[in-house]
Amino acid sequence: MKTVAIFGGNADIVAILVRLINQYDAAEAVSFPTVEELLAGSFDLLLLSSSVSEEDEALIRAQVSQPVIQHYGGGSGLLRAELLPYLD
Amino acid sequence: MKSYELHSADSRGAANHGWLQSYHTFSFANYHNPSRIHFGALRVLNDDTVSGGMGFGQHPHDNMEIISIPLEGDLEHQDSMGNKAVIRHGDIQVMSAGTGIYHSEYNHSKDSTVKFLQIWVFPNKKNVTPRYDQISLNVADRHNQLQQILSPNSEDAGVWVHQDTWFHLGKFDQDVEMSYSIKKAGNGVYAFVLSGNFELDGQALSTRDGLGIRGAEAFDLKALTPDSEILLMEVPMQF
Repeated sequence: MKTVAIFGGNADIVAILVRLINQYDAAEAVSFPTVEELLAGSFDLLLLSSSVSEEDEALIRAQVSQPVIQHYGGGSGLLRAELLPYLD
Repeated sequence: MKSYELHSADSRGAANHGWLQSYHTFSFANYHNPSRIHFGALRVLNDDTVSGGMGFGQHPHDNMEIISIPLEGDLEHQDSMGNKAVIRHGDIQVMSAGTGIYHSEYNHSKDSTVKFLQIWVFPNKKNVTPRYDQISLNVADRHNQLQQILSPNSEDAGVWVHQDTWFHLGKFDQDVEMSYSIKKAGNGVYAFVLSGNFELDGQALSTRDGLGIRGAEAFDLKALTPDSEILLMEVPMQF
């Protein structure tokens, strides 16, 4: 079981991504409301959602050692293809 | 060096939800094929048929350029920006999802099916302000020629998107030939046959086949059957 962190500024879309990922057998989702809490959090990979400032994204990518996946589309369409390579 | 990537119609992922029959050229939702993830910036090419009165309830999108092209019937669209519209055959709709947008899409008819293409292109800029547009095209302008329906430029023909991509539609009489020149060096073209048979640079294509062309400055196109219709999608291969 992999823990997938989700970080994004659109709370509605983040909530949907959490719900969708929690339906997967091989993953559980956790979201963080602030960059500080994300950087202090524990997870196996990070899904970066929308509405993240360039400054925050740069900080996250510099400090997070786990794989960072950019999520596109805002829902179930691409999520499976984005995550599957990391959920083996 | 020019190269070709053929996706035959029957090699696409199929999803039958009863009210929705969808064919996915690239991995989408529950269809996952690691060798079919995207063609350059072209990420989704869904060929959808929706039963009368049915459709997609309100759902979100972000960070994607989403283009809908009705092929038969009419689509009813409503979104969180206050847009409510019917998209008819001959129209093209575009949404830049950017920071996030909610929308619904329903078959406008209670009785007959609607067929449409939904195409997703990766944007060249994340987190843009969401926008919506739709225009009506003059279908006669694509008879035996390529009609530009999408570009990166708001002043150019068709709708515009946040990406260096150009879409053209053409409907050809049998044996009509022409060539297509790449608009931006390095771009590739994904050709999708809507009806009939074509030959592109000698590659034979039938209805709903797709062909990705890389490394070309131009390519030749010939209609092999009457009323043959094709969609050309030029997209960046590096983005």
